Amino acid sequence: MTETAVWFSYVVVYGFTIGYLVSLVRRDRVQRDRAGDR
Amino acid sequence: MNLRYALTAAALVALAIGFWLAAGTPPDAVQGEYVRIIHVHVPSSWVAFLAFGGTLLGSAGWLITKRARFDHYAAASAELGVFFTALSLLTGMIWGYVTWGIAWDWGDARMSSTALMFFVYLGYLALRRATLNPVDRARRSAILGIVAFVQVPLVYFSVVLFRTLHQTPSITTEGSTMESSTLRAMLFGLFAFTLAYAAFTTWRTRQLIIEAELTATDAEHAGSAVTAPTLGGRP
Repeated sequence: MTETAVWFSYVVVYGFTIGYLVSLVRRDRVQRDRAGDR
Repeated sequence: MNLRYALTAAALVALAIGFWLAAGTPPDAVQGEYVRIIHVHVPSSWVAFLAFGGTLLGSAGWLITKRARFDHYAAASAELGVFFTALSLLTGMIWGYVTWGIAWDWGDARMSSTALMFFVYLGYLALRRATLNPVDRARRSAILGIVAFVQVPLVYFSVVLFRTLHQTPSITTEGSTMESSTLRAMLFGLFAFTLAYAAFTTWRTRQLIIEAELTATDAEHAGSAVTAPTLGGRP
C-alpha cells in the first residue's frame, strides 16, 4: 500500500505535467502549419 | 534553439533531477515512505499559487494597458493554476487517506478553501468561454482574475488562522522542521516546477495569441453573415 500510494502520486503529477508540456509543444507545430496555410 | 524550447528542455531536466533527489531522501520517522508525496504535493500547490498570481498580474496589466498579450497571459496562467490545483488536491487526498485515514474532510480549512479556489478559477475559465467579444471577455475576466486572487493568501494562511486537520507550514521565517536532504529535495522540486510553469506559460500564451489572430482572420474572411447570435443584447 505504501509504495502504491507514493508511486501513484508521482505517476499522476509527473505524467500529467510532462504529458501536458509535450502536448503544448506538439500543438504549437500544428498551429504553425495552420497559420502557414493562410 | 529559441527560448521556449530552451525553457522546456531545462524544465524537463530539472524535473528529472527533482525526481532523483526525492527518491534519495530517507523515510520519515512517523510517516515512513508516505513523506515522499510532499515532493509532488507541495510543488503542485506552489505552482497553483504562482499561476494565480500570474493571472492577477496579467489581469491588472490588461486593465492598465489594454494590450491583448496581458489577457492571453492571464488566461494561460489560470489554466495552469486550475491544472496544478487539481493535482494538489488529488495528491493531498492520497496523502490524507494513507496518513490520516480519510481522503477528504469538509471541516478542514485548507482542503475546503482549496476546493473553493479550484471551482472559482474553473468559473473564470467558463466565463472566458462564455463571452464571445474579445474586449468584453478581457474586461470581465480581468476583474474576476483580480478579485479571485483574494483566495490565495486565505488558502495559504488557512492552516494558521484555523487549527483543523492540515498541518501548519514546515518552513517559516524561523527555519524548518524538516530533515535536511528532504528539505533540499523539496526546495529543488519547487524550482523545477517553477521552470515548468515558465515553459507552460510561454507556449500557452503564444498559442492563445495565434488562436486570436486566426479567429480574427476567419471572421474577416467570412464576413458578418456568420457572426454568432447575440440574443438581443449589444453585439
